[in-house]
Amino acid sequence: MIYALTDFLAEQGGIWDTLRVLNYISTRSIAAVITTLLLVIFFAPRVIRMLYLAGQRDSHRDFDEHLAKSKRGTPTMGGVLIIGSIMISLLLWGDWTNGYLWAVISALLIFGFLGAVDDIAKVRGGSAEAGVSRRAKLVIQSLYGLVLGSLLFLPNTTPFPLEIADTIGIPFIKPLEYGGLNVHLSFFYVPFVAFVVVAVSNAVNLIDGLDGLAAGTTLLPVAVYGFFAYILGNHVWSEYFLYSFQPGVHELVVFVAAVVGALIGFLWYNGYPAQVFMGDTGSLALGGTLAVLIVLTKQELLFLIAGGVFLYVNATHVIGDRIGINMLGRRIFYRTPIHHSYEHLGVAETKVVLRFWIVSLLLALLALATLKLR
Amino acid sequence: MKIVLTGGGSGGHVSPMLAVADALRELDPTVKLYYIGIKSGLETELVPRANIPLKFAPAIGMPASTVSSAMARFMITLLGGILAAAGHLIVIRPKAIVASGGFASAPAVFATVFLRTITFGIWRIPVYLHEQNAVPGRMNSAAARIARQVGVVHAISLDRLRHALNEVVGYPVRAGFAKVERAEARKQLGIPDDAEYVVVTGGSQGARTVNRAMVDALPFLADRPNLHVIHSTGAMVASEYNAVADTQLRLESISTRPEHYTVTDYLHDMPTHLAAADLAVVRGGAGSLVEVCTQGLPALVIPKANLPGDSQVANARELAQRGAVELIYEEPALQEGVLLEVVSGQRLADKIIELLDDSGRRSELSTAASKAFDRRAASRIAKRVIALGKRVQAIDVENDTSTSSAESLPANTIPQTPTGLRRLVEQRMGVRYEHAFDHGPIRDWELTKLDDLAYYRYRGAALLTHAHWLMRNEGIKLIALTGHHEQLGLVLHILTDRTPAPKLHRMLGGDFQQVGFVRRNAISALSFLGIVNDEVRNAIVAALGDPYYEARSAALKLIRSMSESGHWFTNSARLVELVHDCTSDSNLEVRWEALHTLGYVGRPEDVLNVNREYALAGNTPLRESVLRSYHALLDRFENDETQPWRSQLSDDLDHFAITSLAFYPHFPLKERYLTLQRRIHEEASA
Repeated sequence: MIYALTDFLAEQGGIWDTLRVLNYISTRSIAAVITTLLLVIFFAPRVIRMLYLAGQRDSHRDFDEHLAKSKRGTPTMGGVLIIGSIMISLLLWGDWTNGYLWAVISALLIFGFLGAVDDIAKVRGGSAEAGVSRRAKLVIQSLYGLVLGSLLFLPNTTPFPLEIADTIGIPFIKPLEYGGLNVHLSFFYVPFVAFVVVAVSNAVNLIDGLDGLAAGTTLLPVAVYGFFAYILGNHVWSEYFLYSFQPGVHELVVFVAAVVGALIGFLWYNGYPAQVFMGDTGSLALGGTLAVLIVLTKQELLFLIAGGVFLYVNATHVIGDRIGINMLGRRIFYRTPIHHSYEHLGVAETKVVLRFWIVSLLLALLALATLKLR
Repeated sequence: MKIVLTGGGSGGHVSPMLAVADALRELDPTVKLYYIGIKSGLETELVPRANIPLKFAPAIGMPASTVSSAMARFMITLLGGILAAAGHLIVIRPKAIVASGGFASAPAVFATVFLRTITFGIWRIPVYLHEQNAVPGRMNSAAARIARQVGVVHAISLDRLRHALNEVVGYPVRAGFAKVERAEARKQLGIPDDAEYVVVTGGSQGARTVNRAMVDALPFLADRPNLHVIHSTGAMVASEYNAVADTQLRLESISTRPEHYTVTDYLHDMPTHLAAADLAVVRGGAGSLVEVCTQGLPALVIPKANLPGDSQVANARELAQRGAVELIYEEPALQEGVLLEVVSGQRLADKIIELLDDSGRRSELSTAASKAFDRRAASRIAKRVIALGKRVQAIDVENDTSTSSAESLPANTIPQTPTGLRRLVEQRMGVRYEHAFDHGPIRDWELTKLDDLAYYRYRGAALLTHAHWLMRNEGIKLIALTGHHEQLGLVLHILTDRTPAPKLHRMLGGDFQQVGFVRRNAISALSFLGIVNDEVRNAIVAALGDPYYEARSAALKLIRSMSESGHWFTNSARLVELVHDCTSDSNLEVRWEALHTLGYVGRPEDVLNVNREYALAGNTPLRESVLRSYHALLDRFENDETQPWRSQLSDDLDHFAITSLAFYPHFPLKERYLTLQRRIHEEASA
């Protein structure tokens, strides 16, 4: 709203021209960070109280014995806080004529809704199995991925420049226009997008198990992709770093800024010992938006570096749980998801979370290093 | 009107369909019937005899494992069957389909979905499903969703098949099954009026357990001169069991048998035999139970274990609860190195004698049995099917005022407080049932309905022969929980069974058919059973060398709990040596447990020497185990203060790293909240 207003006023010239400063990406991004951060910090206590009153609390069934020693019974579904504040901030600072922005917002809302349904069903049913079935989740996620992939692929709807619409980015390799190569997937691009969406959104969902773990480890990859969006959407910088220019993509920086602000604000309450969990509402929404950010900045394979923590947690989960526990009838790792393995080995939760953050930071820096290593 | 009947495989699925066929013809003489079955089933024999054209659509049973070549074969066969059945349905163009469930009816039932889909919903053939078992199988649960209307035998299945139009209709019995007079039947068979006549049958195919148990029982029955036994072995010829040959072989090995014992492969005039009998020994299939109950015959039922949904046991239990039959459960036992379900001859003989001697009990059984099934089921189903075919609402014009079989049942009330197994789990394991058993070997309604230790014990033992490790695992837990000491041998067998896992599993890191979890839980079960003997010791020695780490650590925990409770082996030097070796195990968890355990059983000098190496270990639980073992050591030598190692111990402790990565959170607010709640509850209940 503020963007539209200042844009209009600046057109009028004269003294209003100075308002143009509010339309710069950098200004709006910083404003978005501050807005979401303050919104979350201000509204969280009320939302937490509301969740308590609504009975939206984690895992009632283990309520009795472990209460004094565990965090069970903590309100969950704090994701609504993240989603709500991001939306308010974007209403203020976003440019709603931008197609890229609509794409990430669709992911945020649809995945957030899916997660919310799941959270509510879990609490109603009184167990983790009572939620939306795994299969139903997969179907919805893939459907979303296929629709998004098609919209990005078809010439009439794609926000990408046409010649790179069906390409994927590979770290360390330059695009064709700078003497490297473009990897065209042709119509396979559509299922590829669906795959990225399903994989990444579930990855974030899975890592959400310790206080502050999901919020902290998502924050850094999201920031990395924001950085890329800024470079790709800027004519000068994209040429300097030898990337294909994607006009308009810099609007994602404002979105990323809003997410970063919301996550920092959420950590204020979610840090050990948590006052609120994000629940599937938060983790699916964050996973979905991260996936769409990856696709829109065309840095799919970079996620293997930037999201190395997610890769690790998921690969070990598949091996340890699907193959080991379900098929072979034995443990391959002490516990899965792997962060519980470290707890099993006697490392306190706080320390595990901190170490995952550090590794995540390291990987984020490595991912940024690929900017020049080409 | 054209109507297709389907279902088959065994007589239990075909006979009720034939009864429905008779009723349909009686109700509407213009009706044209067809039958869709499988080539290998009993329908090839029975259906043509009833003058019904028989068509075939291939089908096989659904395998238990989800990912296997058997599953692929099943899917392909099912697809072929659906296409074949759809072809038949296109040619016949029936107005309705009646299915008796089971895999043989799957092609025709699913073909209606196929036809509906390819005609965009224009052509819908209504399906009437009849469920005979107390617990519907997977196939019938799926078919029930497709069916327009479902009829069941046992009221208890109503909850289990969620369907808007389901009702208790009873079990259709053919008119030929009308009661034959006892005296008449005895005259036909040439059996004296005062003789005791026992009919033994495992069904048309034959049952290994029943046949073997009966032959084994014969010597115990030999001294009853007035006893006449007819034993129908069934005609099964398969690689693992040949009913006739196996029975003959076994008969040769026994010394004595009752004078009037006849063995045959098949009883053609079963109704006459049943009418003449004083007692029947039968399997728990829905069909054979109906056969004996409609004759008002006291029956001893040996239900087959481990069928999908444990259906035979469920059927038999359902009737046993109404006092209509007596039950003997199968139990697994090792025979020539193979785990088989058996019933011991003595047990069967004792039960037969007990019932023959107690005519009061027999007449009770007889009265309850005659009430268990009524004879209007077939015409009830026929009316509903014709109405389905005419697409009118089935107006129930039954002028009989008698209640259907199930209404005499007590209402299926589930008590609010946990009883039976649920309570047992909570008391002995300290966790909720759902946490202890992920795959629910005992279903919820059974859990709360009965306080039946014999059943839980049977179920636990029976599950040990199950094809899937998940269920064997649940079996082990049940045995442990119910303290089923007689099954110690089987638990030990599972522990030492070294049959390799399938190749794919071994490539992925699996080892034996009795997978790691099963072995781990078998070891834990030993501590629940609390038996200490040489066999158990050998099993623990073997377990300490188990390739799976959790099995090793469970064995170490077991040693600890044994030495703590004072049950310990007299000659245990070898065990202590092995525990010592485990302190340098490659797996951290095993090392924790070994260090801890060594404090309980090791020599003080050894304990100190081993522990010294871990005084600065980076892994917190390792150092914690060291401290635990010191505690155990001091406990053991509490009254003996002259030990020279005590000064060494305090020296060692001076060089012990006390930094900890682990801590256990404690929330005082929650603690107070909890104690407050407890107080309120206690005051309320006081």
